[in-house]
Amino acid sequence: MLKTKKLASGLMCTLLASMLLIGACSNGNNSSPTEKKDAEGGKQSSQPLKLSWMLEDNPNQPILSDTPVIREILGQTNVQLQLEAVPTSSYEERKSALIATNNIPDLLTVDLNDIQMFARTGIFLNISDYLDQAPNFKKAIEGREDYKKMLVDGKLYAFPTLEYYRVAVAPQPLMRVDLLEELKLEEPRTFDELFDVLLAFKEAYPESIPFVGSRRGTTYMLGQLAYPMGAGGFEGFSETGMYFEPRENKYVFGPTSENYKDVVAYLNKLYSHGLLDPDYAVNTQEMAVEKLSSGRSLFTYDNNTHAVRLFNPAIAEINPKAKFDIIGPLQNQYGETRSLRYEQDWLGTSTAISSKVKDPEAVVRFMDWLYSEEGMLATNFGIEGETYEMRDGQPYILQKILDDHKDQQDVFSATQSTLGVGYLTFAKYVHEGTLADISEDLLIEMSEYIDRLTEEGTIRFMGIDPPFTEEESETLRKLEVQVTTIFEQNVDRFIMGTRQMSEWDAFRQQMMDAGVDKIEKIYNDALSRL
Amino acid sequence: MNLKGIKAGKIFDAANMLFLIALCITILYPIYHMFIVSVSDGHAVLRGDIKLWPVSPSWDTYKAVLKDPDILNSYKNTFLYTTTGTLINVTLTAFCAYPLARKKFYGRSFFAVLIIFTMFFEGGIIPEYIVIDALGLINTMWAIVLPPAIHVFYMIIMRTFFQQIPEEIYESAYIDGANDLRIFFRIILPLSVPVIATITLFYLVWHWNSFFPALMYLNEKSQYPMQLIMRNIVIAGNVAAQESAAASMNAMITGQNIKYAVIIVTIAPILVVYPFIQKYFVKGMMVGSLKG
Repeated sequence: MLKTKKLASGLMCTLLASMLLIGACSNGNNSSPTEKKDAEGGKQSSQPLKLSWMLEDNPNQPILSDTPVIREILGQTNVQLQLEAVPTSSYEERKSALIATNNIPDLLTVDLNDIQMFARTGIFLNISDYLDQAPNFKKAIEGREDYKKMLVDGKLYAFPTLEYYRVAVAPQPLMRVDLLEELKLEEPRTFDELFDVLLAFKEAYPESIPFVGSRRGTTYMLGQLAYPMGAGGFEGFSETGMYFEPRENKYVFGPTSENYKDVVAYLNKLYSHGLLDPDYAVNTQEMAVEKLSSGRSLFTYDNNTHAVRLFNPAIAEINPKAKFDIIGPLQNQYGETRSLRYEQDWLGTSTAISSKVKDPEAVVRFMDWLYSEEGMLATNFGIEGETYEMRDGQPYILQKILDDHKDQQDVFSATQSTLGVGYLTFAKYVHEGTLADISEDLLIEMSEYIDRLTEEGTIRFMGIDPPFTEEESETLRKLEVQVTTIFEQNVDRFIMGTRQMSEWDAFRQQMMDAGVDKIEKIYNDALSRL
Repeated sequence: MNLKGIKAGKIFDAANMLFLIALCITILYPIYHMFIVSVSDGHAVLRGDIKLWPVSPSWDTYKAVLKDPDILNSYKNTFLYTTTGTLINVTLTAFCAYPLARKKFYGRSFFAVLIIFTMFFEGGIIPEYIVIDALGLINTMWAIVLPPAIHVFYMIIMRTFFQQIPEEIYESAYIDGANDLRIFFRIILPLSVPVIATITLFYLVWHWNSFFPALMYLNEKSQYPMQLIMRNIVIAGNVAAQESAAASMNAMITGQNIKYAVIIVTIAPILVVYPFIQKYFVKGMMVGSLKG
């Protein structure tokens, strides 16, 4: 009697719990929004092609689900896009899980690494087989040799994001030009003159830290300065010291190259004279911006946009005369004038197609349309007459739409977000005409200056690494960690002077012994395979 | 002698007071700082002028944050997930803890071991995704609230609490003719208000802060909870936007004041709820039962 009672009470509990669970589950199935939509879609007679597209949702430009451009695409191509906007901050995790469980949506934004790692598994559609369906794309990539670095075994597995027109951005020497005038100094033209100017700043303003150094640690600072000063490595946001040296026409490991010693010696000289921020190695973006826009730091080598968008407006409130502007171009001690700008296209933001799509040809045709003139206009400007108009053959966003967003902190991103257009949504052929239209004159001047220097050959695009085989990648991972660790552990000691520059050669040998030759060989072999 | 003792005591009290005030400041200042930055002018924040008082304060950031449709919608979602999730959690946890607390439950230790096993071993995210996908829960709210229905550790806390209820209470209830269900609802639950309140708060905070299941199992932005949106605003401005190099080069960096306003909007409801539940933590265990 008692035992049955015990059992019964136990059973009751289990039953209750499972009832709750089952109830919840079946509920869940009924209210699943995707299924609902599928059912509705099936009833329609026109049968638009439905494509789900997972992409990054950048908080600067939130992705909305119902935007003019989605309606325009439906009208022009009969494709109904369903955007799965995944927060940028967690995109990698979500993407890895979907790829690992073979559950990717029809279209998926991937980077070069994903293409190299997963293309051979067959999860992505081999686009090369369908390229005859993509005349616009073929036309768009003409003359852009870098796209070959995306190929796996000679096949294309993802559509890269290409640049149609862009407001140029590059890391450049940015200086408080108003102080040059005030102190009656000549604008520096060489790195040696830059040193003299910074020294003069320090003498005139002993409280200041003339050069802020970096906002992302030592290697970022070295990456900005090394190439212009005749060496290279760690350029832009790259984590490795490898770079393409045009002088020798091959890949070189920067820190062990001949000229690198002079770069470090130069920074050491700045440091020992109190011209380089003693906190350069630990500055965060906030700290660096704070120093520059409060007038404590007077020089930095960073993206030109920062001067226009961040430092100048903030410092103008406390000092109306203050102004950061690009100086130079600076000549290095070998008589060269050179610097880098960011990659031309966004090969790292490519769109792969799931190999499970029912009608691959139609999907490729749709992707190709994004590279056509109509597709480019729709994905960058929206609907003609409703959101933009053509003037002198150039598209312009309607003034009333710009006016709607004029109170926003960032008019450009807010407008792009409402319309659902531009790089941060799903434009594959990016036209930044709107940005040029609404930007400060200074930014446009800088952009034209950068473009001019690019044409002259003074500024070169940062390249991306050639594709490696799996075996090579593994060797590289191991060797690069070894070498970079040795470098990072010691380079600050040279800059801060706790290790003498006379020891540099021994230090260089130590890096060489850790496998620099092997790394360089792998890069150059991979390059020659292209 | 006596006077000395009083003096020493006073000195100790004063030192103690000073120490505790300092401790309070170290805890409260970051929150206060976040608040004054969030109401200050963006350029002043960039210059690092905000120390003790806000500079040209205004509610503009909060207006901007609360006008954002994504944030409002996600707020609603978080509310839904938190209430539904916590309800399921507390119900199932209590149902699970009760039999495991009873000595007469058949196979008690076997079930306990089975359940505790999951505390230490789990399949990881990929099998979990496959299971949830196979159950058809992807892109529904149930993918968020069902998989974490019982947190084993909280269940154990509750079981331990139930176990401390004296066996005599059950005996007297049986004699009065109550069955196990009736005992559970009429006697055990009312006696367990402190532990239930505590566990409810734990679950509440957990759901409120959770973003990972939503990230993995939801496809549509309209279903995202608050934390996912906030995380993106706060973190992406720092890391991702810079990593995707050339990408965001032209986009503005989200201002610190906006970030902090979002954080405050996110934590405010929990801050408000906390004091009301907190009293149960302090309350004694057996409030008003079996005296003497």
